[in-house]
Amino acid sequence: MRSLKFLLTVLALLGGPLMAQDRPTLEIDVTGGVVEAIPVAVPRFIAENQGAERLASDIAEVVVADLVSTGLFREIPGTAYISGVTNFNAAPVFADWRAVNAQALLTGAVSTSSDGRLVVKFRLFDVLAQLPIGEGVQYAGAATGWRRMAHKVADTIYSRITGETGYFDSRIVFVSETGPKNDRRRRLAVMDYDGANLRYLTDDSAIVLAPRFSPNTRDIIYTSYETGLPQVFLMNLESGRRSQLLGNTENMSTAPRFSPDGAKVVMSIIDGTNTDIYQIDLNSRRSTRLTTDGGIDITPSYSPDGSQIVFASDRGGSQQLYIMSATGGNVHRISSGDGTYGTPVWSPRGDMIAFTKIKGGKFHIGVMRVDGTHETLLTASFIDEAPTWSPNGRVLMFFRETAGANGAPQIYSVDLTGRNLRRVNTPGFASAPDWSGVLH
Amino acid sequence: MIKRFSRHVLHSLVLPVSLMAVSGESSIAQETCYLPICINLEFSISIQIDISPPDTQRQNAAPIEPELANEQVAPQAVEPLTEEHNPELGQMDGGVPNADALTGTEKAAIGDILAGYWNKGLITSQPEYEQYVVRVAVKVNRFGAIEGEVRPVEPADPTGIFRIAFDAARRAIFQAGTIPLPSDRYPEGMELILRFDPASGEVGLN
Repeated sequence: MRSLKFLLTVLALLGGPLMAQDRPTLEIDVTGGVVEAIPVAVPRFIAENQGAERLASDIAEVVVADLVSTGLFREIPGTAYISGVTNFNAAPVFADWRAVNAQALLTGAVSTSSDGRLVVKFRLFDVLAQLPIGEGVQYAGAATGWRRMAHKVADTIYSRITGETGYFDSRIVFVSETGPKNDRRRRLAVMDYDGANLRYLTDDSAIVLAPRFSPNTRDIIYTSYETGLPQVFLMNLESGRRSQLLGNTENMSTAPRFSPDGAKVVMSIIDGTNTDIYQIDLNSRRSTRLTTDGGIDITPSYSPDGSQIVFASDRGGSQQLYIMSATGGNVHRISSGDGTYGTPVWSPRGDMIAFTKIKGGKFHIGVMRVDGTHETLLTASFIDEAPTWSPNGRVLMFFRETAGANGAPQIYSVDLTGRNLRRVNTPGFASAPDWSGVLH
Repeated sequence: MIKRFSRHVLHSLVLPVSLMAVSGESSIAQETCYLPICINLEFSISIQIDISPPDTQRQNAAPIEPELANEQVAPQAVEPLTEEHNPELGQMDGGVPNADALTGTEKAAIGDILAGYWNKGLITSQPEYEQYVVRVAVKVNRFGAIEGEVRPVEPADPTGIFRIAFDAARRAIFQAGTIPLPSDRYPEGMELILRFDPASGEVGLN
């Protein structure tokens, strides 16, 4: 009996490949293709107990909004569904989802408990291949954190379908602006990446500029005029404690940015008539001068490995982009096109640099490779300025200011193709956004 | 399945979410205070990454049979070809022919049909996307209906963006559903090796 089983096994192993070879083969090149959003069906998540209905609906809505905002996905409207999902553990009827042209299907379930706990679980399916995409995942936590859970779900889906890390569970710190253009009041604010959970961090008694997140996402650094001169301040978002980075000084300091390890800050200091780039050690508060050129060197930004710094300088006659070693030296220019360049920011991927470009009377947000090649302008407007990268280096936020006496800034996002331009929801005018890393 | 899930829930631990990838179970407990307002951001997350698809789903996960597969299309009588008639037919000694009997137009028609479903947006948005060329294999029956799985040929085990490229190719094939083969010439069906090159051809923006 065992011999027979062995023989059958051998035959089965040999038979498969032999039978597979009895067909003629043909190789065909597929060229062209299309670029379109992937249709996704997200039936309302199942409420597994009374009281979870609202959260089940809200969470699915946030997940859909996250995915659609990327421009890479589109939602199949619920009115088109042939069948719904009433049991999280039941197999999807793939034919029904394929019939409504869904290519991905997300099913989810939500349960709540009397002590305020929330459990969200989901599965993702490839409708065409009729296969699950990865394993099911569950998040559990306090119900008050439901939006973050929804963003985590969306991050996972995004990652599984695009192969990139998600960025939805992240925050934006920015300058909130109110009032007329000639008397604009500014204060710092922080919100979720999609505009939810807005909180103000300062009052509007002093002008504030260019807030930046620390890599730990719990500290920010920004410029404030509260001493009368532009000075750099640190703020801990958890305690609310603030401190002036360099203490009282006559020198003006601007445009600070953290190093990737969070241990240093690089910024411009205006010493008399010269503006140079300095590095500040956050433990010792000792500063090191990195540039000595007579030109104006501003808006430095570290490479993700911390070894280099990109900055803007007019040392060559017009403002251009330069890269130097993080210890100073080895300066070389990377921008070469017409126009002037500013506010360079190194991509978290390390492969590109985003910038503002002024050319032909218009402002552009653009990207180039770190060697200055492959410059691509993604936007054009009266004023587009101050790009900041999403944590995965796929999307940029910036602010756009409209022309005229009533012109005002708003925050926008654009992906690296330039095709997915969207306004970010803020309650009022908003400028100088900075995107945190994914929250911990 | 349900029992398995419950066991994971019972074993959930409260750990920093940064451990998520390592432990598979984690949480956030975070007090955050912003000036001038203090906000309680406390919440915790636990994660289980082992919700296996239900058995019923696996049983039902057979590929959709394209409509043509169920049609009882009678094979056409075919006059035997000789090498003299068509030297591209391939070996006539009982070996596996290489199917070059398809004309260039016929090949192009197959490529065009697949290209219409090939959504390469996730690939072309990548830096240096030209490298993400994938070759995949799929069997079709005499009517051009897809049989079985689409399998990667090159890379043989796609990962990262190559996996995304493979997934896009697979979606295109399944969406096309049927490949227009001359059934009279391939009564035993065919194995297609399809090469998807994201840098080639015109791109349609839908």
